[in-house]
Amino acid sequence: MSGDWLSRLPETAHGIKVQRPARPDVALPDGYDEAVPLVDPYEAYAFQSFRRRNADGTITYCLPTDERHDNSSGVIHGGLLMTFADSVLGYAAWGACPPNSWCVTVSQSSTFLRAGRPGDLIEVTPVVTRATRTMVFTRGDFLVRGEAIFQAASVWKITGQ
Amino acid sequence: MGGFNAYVGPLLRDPSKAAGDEKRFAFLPEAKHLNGGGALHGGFLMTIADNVLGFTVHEQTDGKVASTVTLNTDFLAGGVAGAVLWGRAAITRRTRSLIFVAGDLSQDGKLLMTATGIWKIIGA
Repeated sequence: MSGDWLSRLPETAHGIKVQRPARPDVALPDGYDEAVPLVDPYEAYAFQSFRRRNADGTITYCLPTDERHDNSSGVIHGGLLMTFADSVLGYAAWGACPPNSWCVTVSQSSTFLRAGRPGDLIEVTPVVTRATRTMVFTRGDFLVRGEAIFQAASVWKITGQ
Repeated sequence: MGGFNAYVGPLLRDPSKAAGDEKRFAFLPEAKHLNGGGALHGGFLMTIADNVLGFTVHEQTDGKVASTVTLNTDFLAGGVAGAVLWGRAAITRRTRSLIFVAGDLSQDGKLLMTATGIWKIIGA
């Protein structure tokens, strides 16, 4: 079930070691091509995300939630949503950085619209709102079955190499 | 605590301290809480901020459940594994249905994150 995406994970991404997921048995969701090669230990510990490239050049990411993500009252923990946001908005921000530079989160605003439940598939197509010489502004709406449950907007500082 | 909080790791609280007191909450980060650059992951810091502010909120809800509506987090400096991450939070305003709260996370005397949030008391 999962072996296919797992065996296709590269050893490195952006020159950084790709982490092995804490749970390798997550199924590839319908409509998605590949697992995101997560280089951050905390992300690989907390979830496995997947992505597809859309015809318009955007990238849509998804996160299949499971019982790990319960806030112990049957609702998805806000920390998971904020971590997923930091991950995908980071990919969008990095894509807007000049070659040989990278960026770090300076600020993230998170808005919780409705409760998600473990088992829900969370989907997002991150947007770069603006990029300057030193900063990148990103945002994303996080959907479950097409309905927004969470919004995040973040500011990134571009760091020279 | 079950679910994601237990999975991420134990957040400790000093029972001798009250809302607003420095070093009221503590968490010892490990390698699994890092990003690929070797610093504490931003999502991890936001997870801990949500819990520190959320615990402080729930002291004011008379047993009712409240949920996060907004959480704004600023990243002032990078953190490391193996040194205690300290947290504190205090209520800034309470209305019938909303609680406004502010807090911060620090490590080795250095401020890593400031956070403000609004919680909604469910059913209020």
